[in-house]
Amino acid sequence: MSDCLASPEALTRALSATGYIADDELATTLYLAAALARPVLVEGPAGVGKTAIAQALGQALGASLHRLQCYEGLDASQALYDWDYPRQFMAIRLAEAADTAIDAGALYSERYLLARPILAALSEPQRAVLLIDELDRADEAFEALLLEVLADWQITIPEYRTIRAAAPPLVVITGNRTRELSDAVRRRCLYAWIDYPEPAHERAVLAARLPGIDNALAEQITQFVARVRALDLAKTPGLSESLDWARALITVGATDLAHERVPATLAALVKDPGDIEQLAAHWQSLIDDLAR
Amino acid sequence: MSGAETAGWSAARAMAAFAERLRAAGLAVGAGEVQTALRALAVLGVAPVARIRAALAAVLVRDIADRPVFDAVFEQFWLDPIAAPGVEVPSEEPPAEAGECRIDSAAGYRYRATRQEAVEHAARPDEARGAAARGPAPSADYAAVSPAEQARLRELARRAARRLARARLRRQVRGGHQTIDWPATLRVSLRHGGELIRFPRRRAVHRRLRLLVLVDVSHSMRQYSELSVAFVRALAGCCHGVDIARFADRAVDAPGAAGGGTRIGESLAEALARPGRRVDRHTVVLIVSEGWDAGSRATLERELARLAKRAAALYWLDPLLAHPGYFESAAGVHHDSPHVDRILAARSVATLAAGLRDLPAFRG
Repeated sequence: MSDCLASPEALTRALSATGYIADDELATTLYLAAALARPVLVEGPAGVGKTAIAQALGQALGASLHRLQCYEGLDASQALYDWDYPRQFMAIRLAEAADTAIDAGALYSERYLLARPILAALSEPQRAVLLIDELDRADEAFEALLLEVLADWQITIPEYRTIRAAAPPLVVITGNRTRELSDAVRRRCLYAWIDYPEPAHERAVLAARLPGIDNALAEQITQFVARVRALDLAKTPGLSESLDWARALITVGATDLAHERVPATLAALVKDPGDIEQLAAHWQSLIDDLAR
Repeated sequence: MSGAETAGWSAARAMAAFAERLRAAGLAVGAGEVQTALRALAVLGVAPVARIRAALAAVLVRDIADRPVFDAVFEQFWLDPIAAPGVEVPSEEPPAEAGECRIDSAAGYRYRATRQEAVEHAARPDEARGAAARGPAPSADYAAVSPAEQARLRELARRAARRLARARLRRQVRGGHQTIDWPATLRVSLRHGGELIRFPRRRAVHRRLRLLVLVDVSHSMRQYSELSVAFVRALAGCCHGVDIARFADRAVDAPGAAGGGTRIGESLAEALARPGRRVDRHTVVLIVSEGWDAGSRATLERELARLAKRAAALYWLDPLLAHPGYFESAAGVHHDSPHVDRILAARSVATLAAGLRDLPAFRG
């Protein structure tokens, strides 16, 4: 596990073995995140592989991955910890029935503590990977909850004690920029921006994720998708859409984009009725352009 | 800069000077970040320049919008002295993105170039051509905004921000007094042995929308825009999440193009193409311009259509609307554009207030 984090190059190699192709800038940021015990805030358009970073890191380091999917209304009881109220209530009733005194200390102990993703990641004896996905979907108040965790790697539970991480987890926070994250969170994080990939990068990802893919087809897909991204679409296709489309093309048995079934697979690439219509309208010119 | 340990105290001094240069360019870099940057350099040791740049960017940049500024300062500070020793780059000059101003909640607002500079830029004689000559002469309506009016504008901006930048969603959260939260009631009663002792409530969520204000500070606008600019500033000061981009006259480089003036379509496209600028269904776009466009009408229509498609609403604040001599002289494209949801007059505080009162409330 420590070998992967020996240098940015080692991390790049370890990530690429899991099928995640990271450029040197991203690998340097992740390497520093581990070396300095800092969370990484990853922003970028949807579908470019922000969430996949954490999954690949977990796999490369052999560490367990704890995922917190953020949503509006998310609070401490879903993200940090909660008490198992029904079981506590039952313990009180049983003590009453047996006519014994109930110990408040025993009632607020690890036995009744429900560890949610953040506490679970902090409680791991080995370094874990914690993915806080789409933090911008959670309310602003929730960010304040994270500050203690991100700065000191500890959670204070008033009824119990302060739980400190044995090994600070590698924290990957992702955001789609649907809302401005607070400066307090940004200041505590290293920052990485992932944009739509360059064709060469995308080709490498296709080859890594779909080992059986024909080189010529992969080349055509990346060139085509780069042209599609230049169109004014409601939802520009990301890397994950390219991968979906490549899988769809392999499934229908297409060996190049001139194949008759290819237009039927476009729904895997663009996910908006207007965009599909626009792509269908531009289809022939895009294909001709590609052939030149 | 190969590492804090090898270079000793000089790395710390160089980093402090670099941070100073970044601050001068408008980035919020604190002492904590400088320390982290030094630690990062120590961890990396001797490394290629690209990797050092990536490491410093990861630590010192908090938003992709700041990255071009960082890159420019990085190149000036670390790479230029090698090529031309002894050449000092003036730090007061923002190296890039000079036309941008950005407001955040915590850091207050920071200008990358002052409005005064923009006005001076717009007033350059070679750029004060084209549309500016066609407008009516400025009247007392557009005289400098008095302190009393400024106070009124701030109040107006607060109300406008509530109107423009909030949407009530169907989703509910704990708190408030709207409806009883039955699952929470059950949980509370469970905690107290099944007794119904309290009825927690739920309320609808208000979502904060982002506000993107595109301000025309061209020469033709300058004489009428005091009130509009004062209003935009008040808006920026009273609510966060306001992103302001401004555009001005530009020199005409294209062969065959006649005259200069504001080319709103191109300016909008440029402002939107900036990395990190978000326009989505949670963004309300407000264009502040009199709409005199020296560019192609088709380009402006296309850009307005793109904006309207992506944004929650597209409003246009026109300082000349309701001016007696206005329609005789020239009406902007926005008056018959199907993409603009509402045109607000900003001739005086009273017309602005009336326009804002009629704006529809958003539903999530």
